[in-house]
Amino acid sequence: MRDVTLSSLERLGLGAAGAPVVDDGTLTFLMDEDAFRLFYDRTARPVWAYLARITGDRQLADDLLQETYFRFLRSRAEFEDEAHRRNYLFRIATNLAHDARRRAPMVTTPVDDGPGDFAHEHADPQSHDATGQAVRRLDLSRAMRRLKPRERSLLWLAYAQGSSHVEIARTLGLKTGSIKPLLFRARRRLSALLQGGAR
Amino acid sequence: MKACPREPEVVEAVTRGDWRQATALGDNDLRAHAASCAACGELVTLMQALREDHAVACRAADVPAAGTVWWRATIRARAEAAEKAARPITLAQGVAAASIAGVAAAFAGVAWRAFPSLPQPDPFVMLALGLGVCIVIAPLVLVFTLARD
Repeated sequence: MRDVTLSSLERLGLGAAGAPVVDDGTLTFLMDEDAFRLFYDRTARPVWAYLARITGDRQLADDLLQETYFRFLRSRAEFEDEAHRRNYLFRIATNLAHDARRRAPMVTTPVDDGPGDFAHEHADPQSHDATGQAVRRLDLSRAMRRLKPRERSLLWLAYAQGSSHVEIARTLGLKTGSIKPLLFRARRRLSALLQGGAR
Repeated sequence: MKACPREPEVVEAVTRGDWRQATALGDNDLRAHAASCAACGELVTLMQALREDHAVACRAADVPAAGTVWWRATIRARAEAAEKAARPITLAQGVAAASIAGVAAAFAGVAWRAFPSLPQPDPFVMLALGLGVCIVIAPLVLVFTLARD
């Protein structure tokens, strides 16, 4: 990466603290840097995990993570509370993943089959069940990839993250009442894929 | 298989933490139910698998530092603002180029008429020719300018 000098930062109009210069009203962000750091530290990993699982591609998840936070910062939305803000962030991530899928439907760097497979890298070595855990995660990964994108999102948000039906509806842009049957169907499909072997 | 009315309780118990721990704290009835109910049993199995996957994925996530993300965002916002500000200039350049082409065509027409020995076309044909040049040149200039940007 190219070195960035102080003068080059000055040319870009950034202040000493790295805050954007608000000279024409176009560079205002949703929050200041300190608030952003706190919010990012709380949400970045779950957002990355969500992106990696619904796209099935770690590299794409890396790219979409940066884009998600950029769009979030540039938005002019107002939030009732922290949960609302978080749901909005996941909604941006969902839309970006959807757009990326339309542009390039082929998976390039699968989440769990590549050399950087975190199912194996990060299984607890102390656990007697480490290998079993890795195998279970690999099966789950393969089964998830055979689901429809919306089914993946529904299952992840509901069961992996523990989001409520209202939160899921907000994130996916669906009606709250439709979440229960959709989730049930997605669950049945995942279960059938796991029992039948997702290979 | 039909959905079970006790599913929300199961979801809550698994979401609270470890299912075994949750049941040890007084949800034995729920655990017994999940053992006998196909829907709830399936739900517990899937939830545990997904939550385990979530925990490992979060640990494995190699996300950039907050400061880096913020810095990239400010630079990109600045670049986009500069691009937005330059858009009217690009447009003006296109219009100017088209005008120059039109004036050049008009001069060429006048110069042509200065030589009566040459075949003299209809003035309306000349005007149409001049307009045609403008219409062709302007978009070309815009395309080249934007491609350069």
